[in-house]
Amino acid sequence: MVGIVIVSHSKPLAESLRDLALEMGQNKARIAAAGGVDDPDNPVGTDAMKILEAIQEVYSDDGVLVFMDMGSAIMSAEMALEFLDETQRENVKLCGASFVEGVVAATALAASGAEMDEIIREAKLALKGKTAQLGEDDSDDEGTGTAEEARESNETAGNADIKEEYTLRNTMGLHARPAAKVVQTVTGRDAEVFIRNITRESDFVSAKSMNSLISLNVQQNDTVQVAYTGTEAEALQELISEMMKSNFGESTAPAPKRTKKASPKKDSRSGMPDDGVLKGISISPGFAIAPVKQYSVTLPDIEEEKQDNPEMELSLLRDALAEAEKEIEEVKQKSSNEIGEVEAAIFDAQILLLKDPELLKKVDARIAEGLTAPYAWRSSLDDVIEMYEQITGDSIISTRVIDLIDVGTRVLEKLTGENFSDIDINEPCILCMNEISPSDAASLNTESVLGICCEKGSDVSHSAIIARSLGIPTVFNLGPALSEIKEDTEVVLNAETGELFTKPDDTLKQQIAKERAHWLEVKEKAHDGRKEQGITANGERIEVLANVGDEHEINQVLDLGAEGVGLFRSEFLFMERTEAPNEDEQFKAYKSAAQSLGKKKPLVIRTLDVGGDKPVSYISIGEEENPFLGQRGIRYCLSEPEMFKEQLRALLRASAFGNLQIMFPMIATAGELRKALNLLEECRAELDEKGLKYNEKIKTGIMIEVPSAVETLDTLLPLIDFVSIGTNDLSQYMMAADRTNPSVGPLTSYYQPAVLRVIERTIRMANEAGKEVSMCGEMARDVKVMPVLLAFGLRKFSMSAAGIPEFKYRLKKIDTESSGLGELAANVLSARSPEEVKEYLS
Amino acid sequence: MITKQQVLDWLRKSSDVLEENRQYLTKLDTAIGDADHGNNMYRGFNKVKSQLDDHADKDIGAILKAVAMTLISTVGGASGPLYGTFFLQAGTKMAGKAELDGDSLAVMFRAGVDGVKMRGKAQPGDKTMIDVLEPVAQAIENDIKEGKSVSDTLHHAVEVAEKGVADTIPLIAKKGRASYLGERSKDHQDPGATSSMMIIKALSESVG
Repeated sequence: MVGIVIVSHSKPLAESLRDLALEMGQNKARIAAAGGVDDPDNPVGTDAMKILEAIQEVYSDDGVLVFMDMGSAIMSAEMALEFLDETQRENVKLCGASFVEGVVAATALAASGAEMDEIIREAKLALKGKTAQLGEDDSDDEGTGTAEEARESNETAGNADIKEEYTLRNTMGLHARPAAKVVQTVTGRDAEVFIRNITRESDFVSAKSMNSLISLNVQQNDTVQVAYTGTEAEALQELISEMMKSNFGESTAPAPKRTKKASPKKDSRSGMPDDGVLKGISISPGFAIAPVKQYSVTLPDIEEEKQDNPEMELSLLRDALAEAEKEIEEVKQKSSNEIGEVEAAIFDAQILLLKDPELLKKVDARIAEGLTAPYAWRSSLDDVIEMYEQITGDSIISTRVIDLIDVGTRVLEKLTGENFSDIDINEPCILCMNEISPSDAASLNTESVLGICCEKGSDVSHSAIIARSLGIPTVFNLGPALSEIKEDTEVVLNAETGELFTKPDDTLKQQIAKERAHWLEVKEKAHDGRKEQGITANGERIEVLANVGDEHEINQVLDLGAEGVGLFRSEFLFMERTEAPNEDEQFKAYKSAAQSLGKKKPLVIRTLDVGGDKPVSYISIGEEENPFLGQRGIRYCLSEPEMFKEQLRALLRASAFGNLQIMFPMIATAGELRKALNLLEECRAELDEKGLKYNEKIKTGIMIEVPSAVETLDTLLPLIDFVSIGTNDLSQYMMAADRTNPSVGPLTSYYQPAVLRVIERTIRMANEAGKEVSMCGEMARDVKVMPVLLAFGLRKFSMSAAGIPEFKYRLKKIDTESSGLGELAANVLSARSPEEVKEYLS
Repeated sequence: MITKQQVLDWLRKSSDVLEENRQYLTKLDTAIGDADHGNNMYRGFNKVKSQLDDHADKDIGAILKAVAMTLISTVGGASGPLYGTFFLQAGTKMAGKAELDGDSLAVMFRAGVDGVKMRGKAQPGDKTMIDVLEPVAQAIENDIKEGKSVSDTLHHAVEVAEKGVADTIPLIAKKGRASYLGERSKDHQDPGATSSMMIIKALSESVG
């Protein structure tokens, strides 16, 4: 990624511009600010060394682009370049673009992976939007053309001296990048250039407008006609011919086709394995045996048609949008009852998509151009989806695509009166799809759909959340071979292991049938007994708490049998917004959570844990090579004491309304903990001064996630009341492996003897010191390992609430005083491999 | 010969004279610039002075380079990279030297001045420090070639520098902030040229 450096005489200016630009670059950009000089009395100036450091901070072989405000900034930047070694220096460019507009444009492009030359061009053009709006622009940018403009363009182009046809061979056709190249080439020349898509019979549009060019919808193998007029016509013809003929320097591989039934990315290499077993990621556990039903989520095909009454088409579109919105509201209401309010909020995001101004502008323009509303809608969605799909490797973005298809299809149904989407299943089956959309998932007939299998899909997608809430065995990411399974083939799904058996033998069928029967029975019994207290066979009381991310979830988790909240993730309050919630806002949320739980049930609130995998837009931690080893959790909070204290004061004030406890995440040293506790002390004093109430005996504790905390637990325990073991992070940090990286993920299993030993030690030391100890990671809900944890001495578990009924059910069958349990613990602790551990547990 | 001690004296004297003339330089800069030259030069050279003791065991080249780095990161205005370049180029040519003879002095000045010209892209007559530095570099080169002593050469250099400063008064600025003023920059003495003259004078006084 190209790095960006901002040089200004003023430090606050450079830093604010960096923050502004980062927002536009989705916080992904590598960007550094070098502003001011280190002299508190006269801080205005530029410092070549600072600039050098900034360049080195964001340097990669993709290059660095430096923006300067003026005067000595430029000279200092040139100076800084001289200190770079020669190979680096070649990759660093000083950019003369306008300071604010240029930096913002460059950052957005850099974040999208654009190359240096393109970024420089865009940055230099960045001022155009402003000058055009203010009417200072003397070039006549066409924008998205109206019918009037189209006529004019057609007329001028028709009279042009030079016309030439080209067929575009590159995979993506005239998408954003090549369109930008054309615009750059044409802009500022003494010539007019118009392009039309002959294949799609479009009008001519001005080659100076990016939007117009994109609107030509030039796809691979489409033929375009380019008309040139003006004094520089010939020169431009030569330049553009060369770009077209060299396919804009892009790949000419065949474009992936989106069709209605087939998988979107049919890859010939992705055959079915000989044993017929497909492996994916388990989204929701369980077992199923049933015939396959194949479905596919794509936008329905709409024929391109013209109309001559744009006003009527526009009003049809408005009606369809309104109806679709109403319908999504209904699905949301229905889902709120069935799957919970939080999950149902997913549909709010879809309503926002319906109202996206950019999308609507595009559609309106196309209707005005004479296209029918359905085609205008469908083709505009395609553009947006294409744009998203170009940003590859981002699971959040691909989640958006499925939402767009979902919303888009709904609107098309309203527009055409046809039914494209309903998955109408009334016989038992295992549903196989390329990807499942949230509304499809929410509208499934849970009686008939015994399992869900998808080629793609992410663990964090909306659909995954819904599938889990519905309790349907679900596996995602099974790959393209899934679409090769013939309709009605009987298959076996083991959603515990993430395996789909497409050629099951009778033995396997019998085995899984047994597992399924058992699974259903446990599910039913567990559900019935979920509200009983957590208790073992020998009558020992075990606290079973829930992990929650939002105060609104609390009633739901109580209904699933939670006896309190062992982990309240406060960062959800901070996410999906543009600035941090203030003290009062936080206080209200914490207070409402405390009140929902009453005076006794615990509410353990973890202070803000951002960084790592939880980015928050307005928190600028900066690009980190390795965010999981960077500024996250308590480390970030201690670096922003004012923000942190707002949270601490809010927590203290809310503690007056229930059994609220404060937990600090990512503690690695006693020093950090002491600092955090000192800030808490300051907050108490501040509240005392204002005469505000709080629970003076409020309990404080820490998450055990960093191995150093276990190693020095004896120094930490005297300072606090409780510890809670966060197994997900602890195992990653113990094993120095990232669990989202498939090649090392298995190393982070909590069945690793090292992880088990460190957990045992934590529990033992806490119990010996008379401090409360609990566990709130994924391991806590694993009923297979639960007996071992009981044997280690753990008496408090906090888990995602869906796991509580089964956990309590299994708990009732365990005798903590039995000699077998102690032996199991000893065996597990002396095991030499995760496999050996699993053997003991089975 | 210029000894290392004399070089250190030069830098200390430069710092002192720039401190004394802080207001004066700022006043000159207020008329045609952004009123920061006095403060900027004081800030940079004051820092240089505070670090001189650390430089005691370095050779002259290394001392000049260290000065360059300090100026680059503390001056703040355009004179930071400009003077920084002067000392950096001068220091690079003087690497390893414990003392400077006449030839070295000429080479040092030429390297430094060419560096400033390259950095600021200014020519004589643009109403900048080059109007002092370029004639001084030429005078030193000529005097040494003619066989004058280092001391005499430097005395002459001061005269040339003073004339250079006076010559900037009628000029119209073509570079830097003053160039925004166009015709109105006439009849003002250039602050950068003035500080350059002061630094050259400090060298002459240190050598005696």
